[in-house]
Amino acid sequence: MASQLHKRKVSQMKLAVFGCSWSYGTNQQVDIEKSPPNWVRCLAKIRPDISITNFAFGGTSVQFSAFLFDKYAKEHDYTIFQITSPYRFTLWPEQFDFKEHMIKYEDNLTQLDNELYSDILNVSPAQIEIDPSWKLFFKHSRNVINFSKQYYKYMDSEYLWFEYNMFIEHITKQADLRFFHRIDPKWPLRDETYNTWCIQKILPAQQYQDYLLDDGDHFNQAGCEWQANYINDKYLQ
Amino acid sequence: MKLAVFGCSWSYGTIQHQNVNQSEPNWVRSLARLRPDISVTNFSHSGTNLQFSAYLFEQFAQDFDYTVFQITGSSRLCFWPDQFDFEKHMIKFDNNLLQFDDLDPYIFSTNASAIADPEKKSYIFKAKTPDEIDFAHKYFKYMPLEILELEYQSIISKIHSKANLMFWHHGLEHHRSDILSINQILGNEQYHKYIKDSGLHFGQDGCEWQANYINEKYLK
Repeated sequence: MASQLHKRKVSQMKLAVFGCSWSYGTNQQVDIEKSPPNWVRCLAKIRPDISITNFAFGGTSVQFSAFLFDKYAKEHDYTIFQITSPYRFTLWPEQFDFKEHMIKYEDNLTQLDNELYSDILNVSPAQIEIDPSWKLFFKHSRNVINFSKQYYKYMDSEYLWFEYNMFIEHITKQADLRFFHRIDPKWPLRDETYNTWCIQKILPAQQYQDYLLDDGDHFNQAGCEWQANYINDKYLQ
Repeated sequence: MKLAVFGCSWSYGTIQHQNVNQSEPNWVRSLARLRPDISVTNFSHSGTNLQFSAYLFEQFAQDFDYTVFQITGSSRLCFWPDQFDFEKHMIKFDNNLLQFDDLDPYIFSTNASAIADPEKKSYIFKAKTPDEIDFAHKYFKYMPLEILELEYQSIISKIHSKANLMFWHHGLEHHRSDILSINQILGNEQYHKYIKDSGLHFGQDGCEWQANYINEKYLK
């Protein structure tokens, strides 16, 4: 009886993931062969008994994840918050219905539609420097793009750092599990302060390098499978 | 004892001069008069937003024995130059009181209603560049209200766990009923008797009441 109850509980478990491309991949297609690797999708394969909703999306800011967490975390039994880098800027339309843009990628996995890239604007200071032509943002109005430039021009970088840490401290701490993907030399890792952990710190340096797919530190299929197994074995058994 | 106050015009007044007779009332100044044994630094400034106060709290609160955080309204925008030296702009208003000099030439402060009101714009935006004004317009147009609200509430939670005293000036605040509200303490009738303008700023008698209340209840 107890074991049946346990099975029932496990089969009903609803898990949500929040984060950026380190949890979504650079883009996603329903046909897995056409999709860059994504550890959440690997987790869904090894745990068909868990219903997973992946609210992560490429290029998004910690505010974006915090907003979705604040709105949807309560609907799930277990929440995972992958903390992205600071100084990112994401804009989305007022009253945007994110749930309308969730689609089924696997039997037990719902993720945001790849088409969301045309509805939300993601900017980082590096992009502003690298891509002055703004060709990456062709679907967004000139006014919105100019606003994002002005945002970095006028908002004090020290305030943006404060704001980033505040979201980490006050939103992600409500998650059952939270972690950073990489150690970035530009900012101190906050794991000691905020009781988080970091994938790059756990893996031996060479293994981490072997798992990298591109210069954005996204993991290849082997890395994503390792990550899914690590999280499953350590936190979801 | 070193005490710091963080807030907006509800703690700074609309205008401050070293000559108190030329200044608008300010409860922090009344407190400094009442408690010459306390060294008071007032980091409040008119028109500023919650982010401004929280940022200064984060920078300076650890230098003080007691901190008072007055929560301002939401839907405000305030920005200042990178690496701005706020301490350089503190001046002595009374023997035991430091406050900001007029920061308006250096910082940009506005709110959603001022942006929507063409008459207010000419006053609030004087000496600001067209690009700064354009940014302010776009800020209220494009920033999702939901994220601004989440940020507002997160800041309140963060500071509430750190400040010695936190309070609302106005309203029966729906976000956090566990935080002291001047409006609630006074009751609507007395609260409105103390108000001297449409910005809900207190007159001299209201500021003196507030200084006495905080002194008696929290600083004895």
